[in-house]
Order: sequence, then structure tokens, then C-alpha cells
Amino acid sequence: MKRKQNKKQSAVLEGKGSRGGQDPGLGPPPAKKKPSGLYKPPTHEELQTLKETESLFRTNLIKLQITELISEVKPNSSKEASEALETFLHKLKSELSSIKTTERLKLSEGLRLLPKMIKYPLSFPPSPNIKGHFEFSPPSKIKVTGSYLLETNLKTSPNVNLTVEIPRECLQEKDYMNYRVFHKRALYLSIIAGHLIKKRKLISSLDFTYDLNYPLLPILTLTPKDSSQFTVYIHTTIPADTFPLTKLLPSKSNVRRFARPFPFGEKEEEERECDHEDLPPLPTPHYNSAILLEMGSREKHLEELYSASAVDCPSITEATLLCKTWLHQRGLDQGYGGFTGFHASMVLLYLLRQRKLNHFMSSYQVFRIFLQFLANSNWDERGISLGDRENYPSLPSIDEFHSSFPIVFIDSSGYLNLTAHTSLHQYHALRQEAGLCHALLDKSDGSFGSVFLKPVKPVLKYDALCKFDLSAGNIKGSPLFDRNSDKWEELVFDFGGWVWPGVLDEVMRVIDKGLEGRVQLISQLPVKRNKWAVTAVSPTLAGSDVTLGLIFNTERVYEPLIMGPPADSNEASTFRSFWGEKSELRRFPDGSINEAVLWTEEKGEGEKRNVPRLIIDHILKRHTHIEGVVLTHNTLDSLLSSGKGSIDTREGVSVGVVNAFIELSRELRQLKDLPLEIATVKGASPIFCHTEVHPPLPWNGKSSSKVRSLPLPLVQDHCLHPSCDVTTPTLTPCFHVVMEMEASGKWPDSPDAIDNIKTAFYLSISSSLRKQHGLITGTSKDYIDILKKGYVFRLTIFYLREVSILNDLRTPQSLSKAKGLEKDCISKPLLVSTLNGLHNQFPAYSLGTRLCKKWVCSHLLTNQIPDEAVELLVAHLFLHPGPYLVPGSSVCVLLRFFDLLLSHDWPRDPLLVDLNNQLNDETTSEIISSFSKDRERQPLMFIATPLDHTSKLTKDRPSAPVMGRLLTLAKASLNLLTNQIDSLQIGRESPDFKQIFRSPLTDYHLLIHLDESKVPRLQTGRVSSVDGHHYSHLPIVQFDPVHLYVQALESAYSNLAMFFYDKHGGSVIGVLWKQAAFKPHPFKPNGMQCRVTISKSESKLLVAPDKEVIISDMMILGDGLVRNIEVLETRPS
Amino acid sequence: MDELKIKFSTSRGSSSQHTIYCKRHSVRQPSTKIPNQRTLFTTGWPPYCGRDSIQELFSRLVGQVEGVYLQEGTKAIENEQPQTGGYMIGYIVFKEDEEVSRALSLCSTGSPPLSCCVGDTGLKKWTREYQERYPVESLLEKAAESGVTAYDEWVESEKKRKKHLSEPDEDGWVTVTKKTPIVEKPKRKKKKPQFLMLYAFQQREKQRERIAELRKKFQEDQQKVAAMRANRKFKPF
Repeated sequence: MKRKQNKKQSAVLEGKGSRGGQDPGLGPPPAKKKPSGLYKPPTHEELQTLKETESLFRTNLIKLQITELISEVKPNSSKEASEALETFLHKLKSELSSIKTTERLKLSEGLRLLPKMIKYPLSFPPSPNIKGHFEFSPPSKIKVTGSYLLETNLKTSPNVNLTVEIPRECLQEKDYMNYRVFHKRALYLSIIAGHLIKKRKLISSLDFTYDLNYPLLPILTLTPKDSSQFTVYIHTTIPADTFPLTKLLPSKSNVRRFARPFPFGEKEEEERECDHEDLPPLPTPHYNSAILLEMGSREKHLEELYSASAVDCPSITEATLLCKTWLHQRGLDQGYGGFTGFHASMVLLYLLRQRKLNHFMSSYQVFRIFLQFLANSNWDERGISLGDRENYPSLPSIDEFHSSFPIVFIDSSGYLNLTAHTSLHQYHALRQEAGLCHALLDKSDGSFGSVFLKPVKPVLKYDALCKFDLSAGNIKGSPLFDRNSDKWEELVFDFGGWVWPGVLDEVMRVIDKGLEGRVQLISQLPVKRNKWAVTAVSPTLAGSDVTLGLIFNTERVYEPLIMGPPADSNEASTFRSFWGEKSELRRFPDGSINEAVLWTEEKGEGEKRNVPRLIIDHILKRHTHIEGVVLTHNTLDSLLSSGKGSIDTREGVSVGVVNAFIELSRELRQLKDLPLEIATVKGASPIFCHTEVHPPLPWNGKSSSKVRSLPLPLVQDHCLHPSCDVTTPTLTPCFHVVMEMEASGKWPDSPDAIDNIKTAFYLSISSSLRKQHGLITGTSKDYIDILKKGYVFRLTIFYLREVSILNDLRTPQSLSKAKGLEKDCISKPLLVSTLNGLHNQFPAYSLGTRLCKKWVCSHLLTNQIPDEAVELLVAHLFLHPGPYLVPGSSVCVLLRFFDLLLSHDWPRDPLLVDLNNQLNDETTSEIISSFSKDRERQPLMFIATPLDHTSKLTKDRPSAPVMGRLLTLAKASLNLLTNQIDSLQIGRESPDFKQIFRSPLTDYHLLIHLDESKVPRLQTGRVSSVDGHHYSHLPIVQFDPVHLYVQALESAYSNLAMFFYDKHGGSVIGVLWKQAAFKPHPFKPNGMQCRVTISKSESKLLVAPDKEVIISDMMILGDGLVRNIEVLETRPS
Repeated sequence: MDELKIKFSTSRGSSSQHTIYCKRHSVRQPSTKIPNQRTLFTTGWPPYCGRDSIQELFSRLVGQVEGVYLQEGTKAIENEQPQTGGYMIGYIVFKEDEEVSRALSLCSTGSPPLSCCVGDTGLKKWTREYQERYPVESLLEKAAESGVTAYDEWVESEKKRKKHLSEPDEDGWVTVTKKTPIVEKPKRKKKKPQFLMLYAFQQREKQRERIAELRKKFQEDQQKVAAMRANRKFKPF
């Protein structure tokens, strides 16, 4: 049916061309011609589909995309494969039924029944104190359960769940006590394993794994030999009425203290010498729910789900696949307590029972309702239940479950909590993702990809990853985990000796309290589900390294002070006992005296960024004896700091510059004797939006001894000048300021005259500033340099009409000058002020941008990729975070920056950066259509913003090879940094994170080594106050020989080579020849750079550029700066 | 084309040997500044080589040089252009024709390269340029003022000239000059109010349009998805 429709549509498409030009006006339709194409009369079905799409899927696109996705996520289901699987299951079934009955033994001696090669899958043997008998007899029922029958298997892990029923004769009435049923099913499975392991022809691998990752529920997993696509799980089940349900309520205790589990190898002499019987029994909620699950629940769930999808709402099947894909992409279904596809389908069932879904809904609608429901749920306070308590009032109330489990979702029996193992944090993570994606679905752009197609990686999702060591030895003796407390015992009994989930819960509670208000989400990263061969010992369950993901509340996360309760209040002692000696009494400006914890006295942002680590470190040490915590969010910040070992990232400088600028513009407006009023004064350098990589320190006013002021009359004009004989001084950059005067008709019409008038303006402003405000200024033909508070501002006047005058002249020079003016005086100030808005809105923006720019530059791409392009790419991360929240730390920004570079389809899609929310649908589609109409001519890195629809910014740069290199570098950096973060281990030396900022120098043809004393250094040291300084002259401003040299090289050889350097230091320039330009070609008078004759005949003179000559010319061009030029051996291309 | 081997060297000892291609200048419409016969056309001068160095070289080896004109292309030789740092073409104007021949005779194969000293390059040049960027303010002022005055005078003279032209001369002739025509903006037509749902055919028409619209969108979306599929974008795992 689908195919047919496609064909019809393509026929329609062809028909369209014939009538394309005709304008469908108001006139009567051309009656005589047979209508075709878009105007042919619609069939009823077609009309139906078209209308349905609109109401059910919002747009066609989503419907088509979903169809496409569904076919992609389903496992390949060829007829042969499914037949092979069927045969295999039949064979397996007959194998299972053919296992022989064993003798009857005491359960405490049951391990004697264990087949030879098989190792017992539980971590502890049956206690000698327990009663009961065990014998093996073949299963009474063997059934296929789970997603295979529902056709909701995902491609990633296609599986068949086979449930074997342990026959009644193997069970006894009191088996729900003291792990008896768990030992029985473990033995049962072991005996099955012992039988199957001999069937090498049938089965290629046979392993144990834990169902739900819960160590009391081992299951068998096997891969068939011939149809290895599917994994087969063998679960056990027991008849549904084996045990009375009331015995299995969460508050009931079913393990007596004498049956305490002792793992293999651990001696029983550790048993405490006290009378067990006197102590109150401990509730075993997880234990009980595991038994409930075994009691025929799987079959019952399957029945319910099947009837739901077959009868009540057919699109549930598709919707389940969508939900599963969504969960899988987020890793929410992984690990202990994960929210699996089964849970999702049970939620859909619940929604159906609640009449929130109906027969006619599309899968898209179902999925939306699913997300919305999850996002607005609160299962931690008010759980949901499929049980029918109205008709069966004897069922336990939901509150009864809430006192035992953090999250409550009861199945239709009314007794089994499906989310028994889910922790509060896992649930929060789920709810947050659901809310995020529900909001995403409403957006028109690319949301589909973000919701379903893009895997959400933890390193990209979280602002920080936090690692610490939670192994048993590490927490020994900590007050929180007293081995003699009931709490500890409860964990031991409930989890069969596996205390780790409970321990983690406690630790998380402490961290939650410590970071109160500072984070939006803390979540534990899932540990991979592991399986082990049936012949091996079950892996230890002691949790070791724990990785938490943190999403910051960026407003508050770095606050250095925790304000406690007033000193005389009752809460003061609780506060003090939580924080310990860190808590002090402090008097606050409003006179109150409170308990408070101050983490750092420093004012610098860099210090403050350490606060979360200090907090976690302190509270873990105090409450759990865990030593050593790693937090990743600021690992790379030291790259932006002022010197070695310092973590001051100089945010204060940007603020200082902005303040100085504000003061300066006020002073400019106060100037009296100007012929025209000042209209606007705007900043045009990155420092004004706080994205300058290394904000410079204010000039200290000293003419460094190595700089001589020339004995020329020039010094009267208060300017210092550089000299070529000595070390180049540290760079004092200038910040560009654009000033517009009020409109006037007196401006001349010729560009030269405008320049002259401007110079006259500069002179008069300069002298007024000196006279009126006592500022130091230096006047040039094209600008004034003004020294204000130790910073130099370079002021230029912009006259709007000059651009059009220059454009009218139409000479190449005038056109390029007009372009330059437009860029420097219109676009840049506009962009700076817009980005400054982002800085104010998102605290992590400025530091993240600085880090990304630093990375680009450190790979010698300074002049190959415009700074602004990097700024816009980072802006994109904040404005369109996709499946994530807005990034909240610099590392997170950098990683997502790499990810954006790599995942965006640059050749096919424009990157839209919706600054200020100004791109409406109309403009967007305009941009897209003009982009795809003429892709070849558009910039490679196409970035459209509301200010710039055609990506003028990246018109010339980056070029194709640079773009390729950028992507390669980004890929390598992303992989390396991700691996480094993943492999972070406590107690081991931390990896060298700065490695991704070291560029390989092997990929160039030439390396120009510079004389380091001539490369201007960045200022080091700390921000100092400049109020006391009295300046007598202007420093050497923006004198950067490396930059000048690269400029000279580019203007001489841009057709022959590419030049790479790092403006933030580094004494190497990399050169890459453009090999194509070195082929011999006929003589032309123009552009004869370093050509030598290759062959000469009467009619033809062939010439080619000579590399030797170019290299010696490069030496001459950089005379005094270049130390030597290294020719690298032939580069592997 | 003849080849002139020249070895450029700086005061600090770096050197580089170039091939300068040269011939006698001959074009159809020679300018007065650069006449045909006594000019040597040369190409391949490196950016650090100044006019003075070339003048010095040729007056040392050949004879009296009247002028040297350097530029980065063959076009538009009327105006002096600012140099942008590329390789250059040079027109060397001699006093006499023979001097060009003598210069060309230097090109004979096998002769040792001529040596030419170049001026400031590299760091020296950049420090000098830095100084030049902040000239003495009085000089700057003077330059700006004279520029403005020159412009004012030019405007004045233009005005006079135009006025002069529009007045009939002695013979009573008036010169008619080209004036930029004023482009008139097309007047906006007022839209006539339409009665939308007056006739049944309008209703039908609207319906048809709607369906066509839906179909069109459907087709577009299909194309989009097809393109996405072709680019293997539906690979969630």
C-alpha cells in the first residue's frame, strides 16, 4: 500500500512541471483542459490521508520521518531468519523438557546438585540453617514472553524472553522465606545450564546475567548458533498462586536474621554474637518484589500489553518503539533500576486505562502524551497504580509502598512495584528528559533529530562529571555506614549481601544536601549490564568507582557562602553537625549573626569555580570517609588563566574594561568644542562581550627598560615607540570603539575629503580630551588611541554615507574599503552588543567561548577561521541546545562545540543561529532555499543569523582544507577528551587534559621558527588596581610583529601557500604549499612571484614558482623576527 | 622575454636571488609618463624591493634613470597606487633608447647575478611604520587642512565650470551634459476591495487551492525525507 502511494505521488510530481508557471488566480478554472498535477480531483482516500496528517501528526514531515525511523529501529526480519529462530526455539523447548529429574536433597545441601562445570550464580550459598528440600523436574510450562511477541524489539538488542515454569513439586509452602526460592531458581537454572552447555551444536554462547541487574535474580542468556541476531534469555517463573500475596507486602520481613547471607569465602565466624531472636525483623521490600515478579507476573503483563496493542490502541506498538528508541538514546534504560522499554509500555498501558489514549490516535500523539505524562508525574510523592482498588478494596494502599520505595508504579496485581529498584535520582533524570523533549517537539526546527536520532552522551549532557571511590574498604568505619546498625543490616538482607545501591542512595542524599540549590540535576551514570560465562564465578558486586553527572544551576553553583540558620535557632546544631568544623558563626551586614560556611575568600571567578568540588570533597570526607573527589567542570580553565599555576581567569578585567569604556564615552559626550554632536559610541572588540581569550592587564605605566622612547620630537605627542634591536614589549592591545556623529549635510562627497575631515575631527577630539579630561591620547591619520585606566581604546569615526559613496565609485579599492567599513563599523558593533546579551543571559557563555577560541588558535588557525564564527557557533550551543539543557561549564561548552562541528551536516544544511529570537519561519525557509539553490557558491561553513542571512562572515574563510583539518582536529579532540574523562580514576594520576590544545606540527611543509624575544608575550600576573597611576605617555599599542609578518606573507603568497599561526603566543608559523600552483605555466606579465624559467622555446616561455627563492624571500620579509625556516620532509598527504 | 638575475640582500646579510623578466616597453597607447622606446618593462620584483633600490641599481649599471614606476598589475598606470605587499611590475624609464638596450644586454646568459641592496624589511620596517602612524600633530593638522581646502576649491571650481557650461558661450552654444536621470518610483496601485466568497466558484476555487497546497507540502516533505534517507540520517544507533 505504501509503495503504491509513493508511485502515485511521484506521478503527481512529474505532472506538476507542465502547469508550474500558471498563476492560480481568481478566474474560473480552465474547464476544457483535463486537470492534472496538483489540481486533479482528489480521491477520497487521498483527502483522508492529507487531512489526517494535519490533525494527527502536526506535519507531514514528522509522519514521514516516524515511518522512516520505525523501519530503521526494528531488527531485520526476513522470513528465513524468523523461521530459523522458530525452529531454534522449538529445539530448545524440547531440550529443556528432556532434562531428567534429580534426586531430592535438603536445600542447605543443594549445591551438591550443581553440575560439574557450572558455577553457582548467586554470590552466597544456601545457609546451613535454612529448611526445605529441592529436586529438579522438567518445567511445567515453557513460554515466550516479552517484546518479541509484541514486535517491539529494538535493533540494538533483539531478544526473546523464554520463561520456564518451575513445577509445583519443586516448591514448598514456605519458600518465600530466607532466600529459599532464590536458591531454588538458581539451582534450577544451573541444572538447565549444565544440560545446555553440552549442546554446542545448538548454542554458541551461554552466560549468566542478572535480571533488572538485581543480584538475587540471575537468568540465563544464550545466543543461538544459526540465527545469532537474537539473544535468548531464560527466565524462571513459579505458579501465580504459590505464595499468599499478603506475605509479600513491602513492609513484610521474609528473611530471618539467622539466614544472613555470607558471600562465598567470607567466614561465618564474623557472625555477631547476639541473640537473633530478640531483634525486631527487618522489612525486605526489594526481596519481596522480586518474588512477586517471579510469580507469573511476566506472562500476565504480556497478556495485558498484547490486548492493549491488538485491540484497544493499535498505534501503541509503534509508540512503544518510539519510547524505547527515546529511552535508549538517553541511556535511561541502562543499569540497575533503569527505566526500560517494559516500563514504558506499562506506562502506555496505564495511560490507556486512564482513557488518555484512544483507538484513533497516531503513534506520534501517543508518544507526546507519554512524554507529557512523565514530565508532569510525581511518582516520588504520589505514585500510580494499575491495580483496581475501587473494586478490590483489600489491595494495599499506595502510601504503603511509598514508605518502602522512593518511586512507586504498581502493576495490575496491586502488589508489585514495577519501579522498585529505581532511585529518586534516576526518576528525576527521566522526568527532566521527558520535559525537555516534550518542549522540543513543539519546535519546528530539527527537533526530530534531537529527540530520536542523536544519542545523548553523558559527557555532553552534564556540566560536570563527579567521580569518587565507593568501594567497601573506603567507606569502612564511616558514621553513615555503621555495620552494627539496623539500617546496614536491612540493606544486607534486602539485597542479599549486595549493599551498594543502598549505600549510594545514602551518599547521594548527603551530596544533595551539600549542593542544595546549586544543581538542577544529579544523576548516577549507569554501570553497563554485564554477563559472565556459566563456568565462571559471578562478578563481585562491590561498587567501586561511581560517576555522577551534574547539571548546574548556573546562577548559584559557584556561590562561595552557604548561609545557615541564625545562631540561636534550633536548626543551628543540625547545620553544624552536617558541615562540621567548616561551619562558623558570622556577622552579616544586616546585623544578623548566622551559622555559615565560607569556601573561599578569593574574589576571582576561577577560585569560586572550585567551590562545588570543595563542598563535595568536604562532606564526603566528613560523612562517609571517602577521600578524593574529581570534578571535571573546570579542568581546562587554567588555560585561560594569567600564568602558570594560577586559576585566575581574569573575568574582572573585562568588567574593568567595560567600566572604563562607559566612563570614556561619557567623557566624550561632555566634550565642548566639537563641531558636531556625538550620536553613538559603540564597542567593537570581543572584550566588550567578555569573549576575549586573554583579557590584558591594565598597563602599568612604566616604559619597560627595554623600550626606549625615541629622542625625536614625536615624544612630545606622548607616544612610546618600539625598536627593532631589543625585545618586543608585552602586547598592549587596543579595543576598538566606533563613534558616529549626528547627521549633517556638511560632509563632503569624496572619500579622500571625508578622510581629511575625519582626521581633523580626531585632532580636535584628541586635544579636547587632553585639555578637558587630562587623558593621554595618540593621534593618527585614521584613529585616536586613548589611554583610559590603563587600557587603550582605539576610536574611529564612522560616517554612514561613506559606505554608499564608496560603493558608487565601483573601483576595486573603494569596494573593498566599503566592505571593510561595513564589517568593522556596522556588523561588528552590532554582533558585540548582541553577544553581550548572551553573556548576561548565560553565565557559562563567556568562559566557554574563550576556551573554544583558545582551542582554535592553539591549532594555529588564528587567521584561518574568523573569531566571530567561533563566537556564533558557541552562541548556537546556547540558543539551540538540542537534546540537552543549556551548557553550564566551560568543559561542557568545549565538548559540545566539537560535537556541533562534527554532527552538523555542513555541506547540506545551513547553521541557523537565532540571535534575539528574530528568525521567523518565513525568513528561515528563505535562508534555506537560497542556501540550497546555489550551494557551491556559498561559504563552506554557512552560519546564518538574523543580522547576516548569507553568512558574509565566513565568505572566504575557512577554506576547504582548513575546514577539513578543523573537523579532523575536533574529532580527535572530542575522542581524546571523552576518553580521558571516562578513564579518570581516583588515586591515579589525572591525564593531561591540555593535550588537545597541543597541535601536531608534522602536517606542514615548512615551519618558520621565530625569535622568541621578538614575539610579543602576553601579560602575566594578577589584576592590579590602576587608580594610583599617573600616566605620562601612551604605551606601544597593538605592536605585534608576528601578526604583521603573517599579513605580509599572506599578501605576497596567498595564491601559493597557506599560513597558520597562533596569536596567543607560540613562536612557529606553519606553511602549507598549494601544490597545484607550482605546476609550470606560460609566462604572464602579472603575478610573477619568484618564478624561474622551466623551458624556453621560440613561441613559449614556461615558468614556475621556485620554493627555494620563496623561502629566502620569507626570510627577508621577516628580517629580524625569523630565526630559521625548517623544511619538513615530504608530508604524507 | 629576457631574464635578469638579481641578488637582493639586506643590511643584515640575508639574500635571495631572483629572475626578473624584462623587455623593451611597447604598447599601443603609451602614456606620456611611460613612453614606449626608452622604458624597460620588468616583472617579478619582490615586495621588499623599493623604488630607490631599483633606481640605484640601474643608474649604477646602465645610466641615467628618469623614473621608476612600481605596481602590482599592468592595469591603470595613471595613478600611483598604495602597495599591498605583493610582487610587482616595474617600468624603468631611461633618458635614452640605448640605455634600454644596454640594460637588456645585462641579461646575457652566464653573467653573474647583479647585486641589489634593499631597504628596511621585517622588524625594522614595522617599527618605522609604527612611528609613522603617529606623526607630529601639527603636520597632521596641516595635511588635513590642506586636503580639505583642496576639496573645497575643487568643489568651487566644479560649480563654476558647470555654471559656465550652462551659459551660452560667445557663439551662443550651450554644452549639454549628461545628467543622471531621476528614477521615479513606480506608483503603488491601490488594491481593489474584493468580495471573497461571493460566488460558488470562488468557494470551489478555494477548496482546490487548499488541496493543492496540502499536496505540494506533502511532496516537499517527501523529498526532504528522501534526501535525509539518502544521506543516511536515519541511523539512530
